[in-house]
Amino acid sequence: MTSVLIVAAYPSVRAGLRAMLVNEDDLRVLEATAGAWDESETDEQPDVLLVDLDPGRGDQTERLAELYPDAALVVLHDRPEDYRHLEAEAGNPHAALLKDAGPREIIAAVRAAAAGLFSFDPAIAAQLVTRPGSYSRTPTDAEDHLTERETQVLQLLALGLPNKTIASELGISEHTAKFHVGSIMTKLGAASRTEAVALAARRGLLVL
Amino acid sequence: MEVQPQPSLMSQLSADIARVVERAAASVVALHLPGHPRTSAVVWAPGMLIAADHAVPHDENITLQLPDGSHHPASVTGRDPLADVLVLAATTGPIPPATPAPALPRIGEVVLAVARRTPRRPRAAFGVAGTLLRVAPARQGRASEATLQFIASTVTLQPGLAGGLLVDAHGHMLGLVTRPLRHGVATPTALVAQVVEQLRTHGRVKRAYLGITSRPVTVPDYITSTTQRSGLLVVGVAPDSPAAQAGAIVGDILLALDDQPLGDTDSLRRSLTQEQVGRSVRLRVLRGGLPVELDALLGER
Repeated sequence: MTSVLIVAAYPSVRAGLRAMLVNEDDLRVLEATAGAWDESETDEQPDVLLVDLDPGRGDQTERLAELYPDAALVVLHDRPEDYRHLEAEAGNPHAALLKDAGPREIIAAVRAAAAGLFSFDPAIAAQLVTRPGSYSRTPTDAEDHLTERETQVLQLLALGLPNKTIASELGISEHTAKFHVGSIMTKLGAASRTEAVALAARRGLLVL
Repeated sequence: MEVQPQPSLMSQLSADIARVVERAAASVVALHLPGHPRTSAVVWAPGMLIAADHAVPHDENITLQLPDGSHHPASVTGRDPLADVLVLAATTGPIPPATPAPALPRIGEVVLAVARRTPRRPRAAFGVAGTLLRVAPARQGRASEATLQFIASTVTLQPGLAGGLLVDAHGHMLGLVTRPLRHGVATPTALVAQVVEQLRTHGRVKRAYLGITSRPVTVPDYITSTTQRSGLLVVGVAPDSPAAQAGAIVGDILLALDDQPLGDTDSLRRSLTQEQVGRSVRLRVLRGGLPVELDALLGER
């Protein structure tokens, strides 16, 4: 049995989404809530959050992912380009649909997310493929072309130094150090500072 | 006349565990990381917190979320990826620092993992100390007691415990829950203390330095006469580095450092611990298909 918490600002939308789900034997609608901003509202951790995205709340999915760290997210978007909380949602299985999705798509997405799968409306999937630095983690030729400064920053990164210290060691601003770290991670296809160091060592870019 | 039943041993045990968890949880807070799942952090000293390095991918915009609902910015003091420890500075208010346990746990001792990914809701898991793992071997016969030993426990597998406390039956800190808990691993308190001390005094953790860049390559097993299938092809030697002084040249394939096989760059990084600084190590090298041995005096960085 998969428990689903509906999050939507408007009562009519909540009622509509609930109506789509209640006749499914394997789904249990916990309750419908306007915001779920306060974690004290419910103690039950839902398996899936079905969210009618509020474009006015830029951090909505991020907040929900924090409040319900173990829940999968199924998010309904106004427009494909509204899907931009990729990093926040990427941690948990999730689905990104558009608001014109019908019951079949929504129910399928809820079940897929509960099973640990990711699913996307074709229009959203199309922009994922083309957007640089999104799901595509394939390192490019750029990995072998770290600039001299980036190589210096990399060596300090390998010592576990924060940006502030890297900046002062190299006599550059913290902002510039942050920029170099970001550039190194992009070139290496690394998701974290620590991964960047491991990948750089493996590719012969880090002096050990 | 009904007789009031004695509280059972199990109910006493249960109450004890809940009490220990509650006390430990008081020293554990939630870290908000923009764009990433929240993680836990432990108050180590007033104004100083520790977390699992792997669970905090970026340094920017980290916020401490206290159980009273208040938020405080936290800045990274330093990281030690080898010990998987991250040190943070932030206002910790009235939160009590964790009380360290005096020693490593005995194998079989009951341990509890206590984390707090959401500010007001702690999580706990129960197990025993399963074994002590030596993740990065120090030189034979010279291994210091707590260094680079990790506690592997049987704590139930559940996500989101990283950065939490591993405590003993007294609620004393045995370690910091670090590697993804699939392995139930924690960095022992003594190692955490070393890392914190080094970061506080030097601003970073010291590492031994060889002076090469390398890439892993496959080596035919008739050459190594062991099960080792890969070595490190030296693609660069830093001038005047320990490697250069030992006579290493580009094209050498590094097979082992002392008796530690070097199958990938991670194993070389793990071998270059602080204890190795200033020590002479023997490098087993393949040069032009022939085995060569080089002695290198490791530097510091």
